[in-house]
Amino acid sequence: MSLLDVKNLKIYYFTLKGVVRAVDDVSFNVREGEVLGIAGESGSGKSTLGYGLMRLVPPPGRIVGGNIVVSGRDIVSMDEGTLRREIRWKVISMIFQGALNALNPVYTIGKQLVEPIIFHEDVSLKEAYERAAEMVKLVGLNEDVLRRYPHELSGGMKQRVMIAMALILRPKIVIADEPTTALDVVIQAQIMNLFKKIKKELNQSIIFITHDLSLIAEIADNVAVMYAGKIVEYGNSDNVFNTPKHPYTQGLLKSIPRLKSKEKLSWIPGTPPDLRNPPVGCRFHPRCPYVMDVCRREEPPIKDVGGNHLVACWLY
Amino acid sequence: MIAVLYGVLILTGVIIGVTGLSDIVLYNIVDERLRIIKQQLAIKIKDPEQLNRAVEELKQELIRAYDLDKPWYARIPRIIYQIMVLDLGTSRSTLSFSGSNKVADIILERIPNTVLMVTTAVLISSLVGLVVGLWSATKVGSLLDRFTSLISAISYSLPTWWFGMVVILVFAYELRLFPSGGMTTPGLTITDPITRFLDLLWHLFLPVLTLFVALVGSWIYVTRSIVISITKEDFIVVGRAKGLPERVIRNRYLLRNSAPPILTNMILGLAGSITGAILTEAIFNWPGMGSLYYNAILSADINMILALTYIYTLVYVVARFILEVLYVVLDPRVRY
Repeated sequence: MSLLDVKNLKIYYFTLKGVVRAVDDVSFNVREGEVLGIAGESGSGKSTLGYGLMRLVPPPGRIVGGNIVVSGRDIVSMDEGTLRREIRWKVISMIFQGALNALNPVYTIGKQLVEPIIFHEDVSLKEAYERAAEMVKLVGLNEDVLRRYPHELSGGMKQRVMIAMALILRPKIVIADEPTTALDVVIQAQIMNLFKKIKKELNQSIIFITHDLSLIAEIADNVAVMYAGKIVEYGNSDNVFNTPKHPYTQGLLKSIPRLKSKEKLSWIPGTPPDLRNPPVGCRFHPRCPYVMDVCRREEPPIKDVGGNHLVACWLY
Repeated sequence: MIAVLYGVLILTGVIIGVTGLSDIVLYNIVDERLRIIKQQLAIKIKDPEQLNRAVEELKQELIRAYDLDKPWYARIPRIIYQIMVLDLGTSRSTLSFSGSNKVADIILERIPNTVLMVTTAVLISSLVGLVVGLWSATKVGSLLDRFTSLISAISYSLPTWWFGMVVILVFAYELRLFPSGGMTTPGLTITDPITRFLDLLWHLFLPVLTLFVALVGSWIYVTRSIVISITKEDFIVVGRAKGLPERVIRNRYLLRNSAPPILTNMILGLAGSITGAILTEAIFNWPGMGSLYYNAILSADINMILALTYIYTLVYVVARFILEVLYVVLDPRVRY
C-alpha cells in the first residue's frame, strides 16, 4: 500500500476574472522511502499542488474535488482541528520556497524548532531541545544555531534550519517546494547532497517540487511532469529521462544545455496557456510539434506505455 | 537626534532673523516704550529741543539694550543659547494664570491641560483603533471589515474644526447637555474636589469626543494595514503548516511582528499630543499648548515661538529615544 494516494485532485482559484484551474484532475502516489519529483514551468500548478497536499491553498483558491489519502485517512474531507492536530507537520511537513522569509524573525531558531514538538507531542522542554539539537546536527549545522536568530544566518543555513524543522517530528512525507531556488549554485549542491543523505539515512519519503529537471534527475525515484495544471507524463525517473514520451517532456529535456553533446539547444515555442481559459483538447496542442486533429478536439487520457510509464498524449 | 533638536531650533531662529520679523518686532517694542517715556518726560522737560535730544538718547540706549545695533545673526544666537540651557526667557504677549510672564511658567501651566484633553483623546482613539483594526485585519474582505473601512475613511476625512462646531451646535446649543467650551464653569464656588473633578470631566467630554472621532479612523486604518502586510509573510504560512493553534499564530507570529510599527505610531502619537491640538483647542476655548502656540505666532512673540518649538522638538526627540530603546527589546534584529 502506498503512503500517499492522490486521486483526481482539483484545486481552483476563484478570482474575479474567472476560475483558474491550477491543478486539474491530478493523480499520483508516493510509497514509503520514495522520492517523487514534480517538474513543471512556473504557473504549471506544481506549487499549488504542494500547498494543496497540506490543505494550505491560499484564498481565493480551494480544493474542489478529489482525495488526498495519507496512511488511509482522507485529508480533503477532514475537519480543520483534526487536520491541524494530527496531520500537519506530524504526518506531512513542508520545506518552503522562500526559506529566507519562512522563519519568524523575532524568535530564536531553537524556539521555532521546538514549537511543533511542544504542540504535537507530550514532551518536556528539555527533551524537545535535545531533539532539536540532534536534528540540527543531522542537517550539518552547529548546535549553537539554536540560540541564534534567523537574521544571523546565511541563506544556506536558513534552508538547513528549515529542513531540520520539517524533519523534527519525523513526518511520513516531506514536501520540498523549490527548496534550492533562492540559493546560489554551490549552496544548492550542498543542499541537494543533504537531501540525498536524508533519503538514504532516514528512508524519508519526499515530494520534490522544482522547475529544474536536473535536480530531479539527481534525487527522484519517480517523476511527474506537470503542464497547465495536469500531469502529462509520470513514471520511473530512468524511463522518463531516457525515453521521454510526451512532446512537452522531450522539449524540456532538449532545452537543457549539455557539455558533451553537439546537439543544438532547442526550446519550446510559445508560452504556457492562461489557466482561466485553457485550450480545448490537449492543453499543449498550440505548442506541440506533432499536433494532430484529435489533439484540438479531445483531451488525451493518461495511458500506460509499459513499465508503469504513464503519458497523456494522443501519439500513444 | 541631538542634531535634530538643535537643528530645528537654529533653523527657526534663522527664519525669524532672515525674514526681518525679529527686527520689526523689536523696533515696535522700542517705539512703544519710547512713546510712553516721551509722555512722562514731557511733563518734566518743557523745552522741545531738549526733550527730543533726551528721547533720542534713550532710543539709542534701548536699541543697544535690545541689541538692535547688531545684525540678527549676532542677536538671535544669544536667545538660542539661553533656550538650549532651558532658560526660556519671558513672554511679551501672554501671562500665566498666576500672572507670571515667564515662558517656563506658562508652559508648565498649560501642559497638564493639554495632556488632560489631547493625550486622553489620542490614548482612547489609539486603543480603540488598535482593537478594531486588528479585528478587521483578521476578517479582510468581509462585510464587517468593509463597513469598518468605510467608517474609518469617513473619520479620517472629517475636518476637526467642522465636526467640533457641529458637536457644539448639537450638544451645547440644541440639547444643552454639555458646555460649549472652557475647562471649568465660571463662578463655580464649590471647592469640593469631587465636584470640581466632575465639572472638569463634563467640560472635557465634547473636545475629547471631537478629537476621538477625527483620530480613530486613521488608527484603525494604519493598524489594519500593518497587520495585513504581516499576514502575507511566509512565516505565517509556515506557522499554519506546522499545525500550531490559531491563537499561537496570532500572538507569536502576527502580533509579535506587528508590534514594532504599531508601537512606533502610538508613542509618536502620544508624544505629539503633548504639543496640543491647535484647532480643537481653539474651538473649545481650551487653554492648552496648541492655542498657546497659535497666539504666540499671531502676536509674533519670538521668545515664546522659539521656546515652544524647542519644547516640541525636545518631546519628539525624547519619544524617538524611548522608541529606539524599545526596539532593542522588541526586535532581535536591532542591536547597538
